[in-house]
Amino acid sequence: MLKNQKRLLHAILIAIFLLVSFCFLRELLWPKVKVGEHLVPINPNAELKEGQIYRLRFWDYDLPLQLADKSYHDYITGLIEKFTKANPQIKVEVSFLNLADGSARLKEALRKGEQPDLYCSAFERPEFDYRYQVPIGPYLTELEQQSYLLAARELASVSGIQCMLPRWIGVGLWLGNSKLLAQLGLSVNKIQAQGWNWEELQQASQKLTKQQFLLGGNLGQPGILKELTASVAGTVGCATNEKPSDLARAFLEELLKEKKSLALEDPNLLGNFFEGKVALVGGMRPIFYRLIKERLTERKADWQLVWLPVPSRYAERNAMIAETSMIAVYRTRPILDEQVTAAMKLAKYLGAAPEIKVWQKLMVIPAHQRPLTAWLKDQQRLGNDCAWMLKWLQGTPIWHESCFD
Amino acid sequence: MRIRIIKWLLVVFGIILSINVAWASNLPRENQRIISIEGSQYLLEEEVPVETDLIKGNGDLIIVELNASRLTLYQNGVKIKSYPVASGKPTTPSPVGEWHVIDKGVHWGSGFGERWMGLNVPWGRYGIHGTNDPSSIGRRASHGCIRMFNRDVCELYKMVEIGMAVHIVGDFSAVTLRREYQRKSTGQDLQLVQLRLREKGFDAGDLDGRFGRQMEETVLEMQRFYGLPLNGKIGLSEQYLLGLR
Repeated sequence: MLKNQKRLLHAILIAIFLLVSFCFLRELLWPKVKVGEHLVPINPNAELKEGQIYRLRFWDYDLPLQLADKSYHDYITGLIEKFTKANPQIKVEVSFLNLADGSARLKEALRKGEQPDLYCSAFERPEFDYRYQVPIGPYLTELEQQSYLLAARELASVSGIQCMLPRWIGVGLWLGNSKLLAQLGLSVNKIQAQGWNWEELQQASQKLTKQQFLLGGNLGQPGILKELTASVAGTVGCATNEKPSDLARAFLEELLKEKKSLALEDPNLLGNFFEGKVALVGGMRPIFYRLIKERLTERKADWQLVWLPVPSRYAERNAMIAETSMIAVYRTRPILDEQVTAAMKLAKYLGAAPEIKVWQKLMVIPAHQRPLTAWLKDQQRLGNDCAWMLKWLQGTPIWHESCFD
Repeated sequence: MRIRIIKWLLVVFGIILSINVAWASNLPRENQRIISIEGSQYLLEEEVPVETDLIKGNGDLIIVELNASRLTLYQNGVKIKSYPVASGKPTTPSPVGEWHVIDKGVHWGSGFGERWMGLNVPWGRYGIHGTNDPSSIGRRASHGCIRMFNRDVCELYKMVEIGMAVHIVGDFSAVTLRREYQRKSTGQDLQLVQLRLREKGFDAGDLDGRFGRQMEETVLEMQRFYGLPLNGKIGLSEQYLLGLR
């Protein structure tokens, strides 16, 4: 009896030892990628098992956009249906988040370990989550990587590893009152063709009357301050370092010291702008500008709304990514790498979706070559606004020519 | 003798008149203090809170078309019955908007006919009720309430539950906008804001002139979408963007 008990105990101990060894070896040998200071496990070679059904949870935002014949909600639902028809092993449950609290809900879900398999951000790059997020870069072939705008890929990267799939980018722009700008001695045609610098802006501000304002909008960070900082750094993207930001801050303070500005929080900003008393509006997202244009058209103003690049410190052509949308993939089941493979498949499908009307409505640029090519071909219908923006961007580092080979 | 008779007649007439005036002054009138037969008391401009179980409803719907003077009941999207109604005079128009039935009562007084179904209008006491003036049906004749024939209102009363949605369709009155709207604001001008938000793709809930929690969340969503400061209020900037100014 005692002998049998001893044997049983030995068997249990051996089993525990084997299990621990297996887990330890798995942890040791499993492929990982270093993201910052962290080692994140990945398995790009995992393949979907035949006959197995993979259920994915996908979170997107319910953007209040009406396309020609459907809403954004219907567009995404239709896209998912097409994907699941082409991939019958993968079932997708879509949830639409509210813009007001979507990112907070994601943070809470990550905190509790209830994250979705895929998350599509709106207007921002989500923070990389070292516990659950899976970097996308190792799951992309070189050709797939090259299909995305270089600047967008860089923005989606952490420590040189592409961690997310960029969906679109929004470029920093300013709005101008053509009549008032002409009064201030600024040539819109010249600015749109060649750009302008801080000195020109400073000189123009001297010619304002007491009732007129030079600049309105989001004056802080993010906003005009970020845009001016990026123009000093001469780099594309949202990164700033101290010196350029100090320079930008000092310039902005000097420029606006005689209270020639109206902050976004000021209730009188838009009223004064529509009355033609504000020369420039900046630091806002393109969709805001589109709305301003619609309202101005209704009011039949006697001046024209013009789009301008952000003034540059050194009179160089520059552009910065003011906002973006990224697709993030999360590990939801600890050892099921095929689940991640299925999620990556869906992420790539969504990133390369050919529909362009959504991005046209938002006045943003699709990050993948496929919709971008369609967007470029369609520029005739986009009108002067986007055609000008395109021309401007083609001279800047955002527009990496390799995308169009 | 004749003078005596006349005096007595005058006295009797005066007494009868006094009794009638006293009785009439106790009659409930539209948009004044009312005590229903169940004992509930309502004051003018009482605000029924937005976050209340009373307004959930069950998906059935009453649509009142002011221009056609018709009230139609729908159940599960199917038209059940249509009735002729009287609505508010131009000087006292019926409240256009999306409401809910918040109380029901019987025998509120002859002016209200056989039945009463009150609506959650924040700027006055409005409802659907019967009448002692059937000739007014089909015309704009009331102080804002929706009047029905007594036989019709009794029939409808049985089919209506507390919380049922009532949409009064017509032309919105001209309003003056305030500089700012925030949580707990109410008013007809706020309905215009709600309508414009809806047209822009932001659903703030019922067009009921109430700035409740749902509307605040919708405003935050709109502000987030356009990159505006997130304060949950409709200020001048928002009004310009919505095309209200």
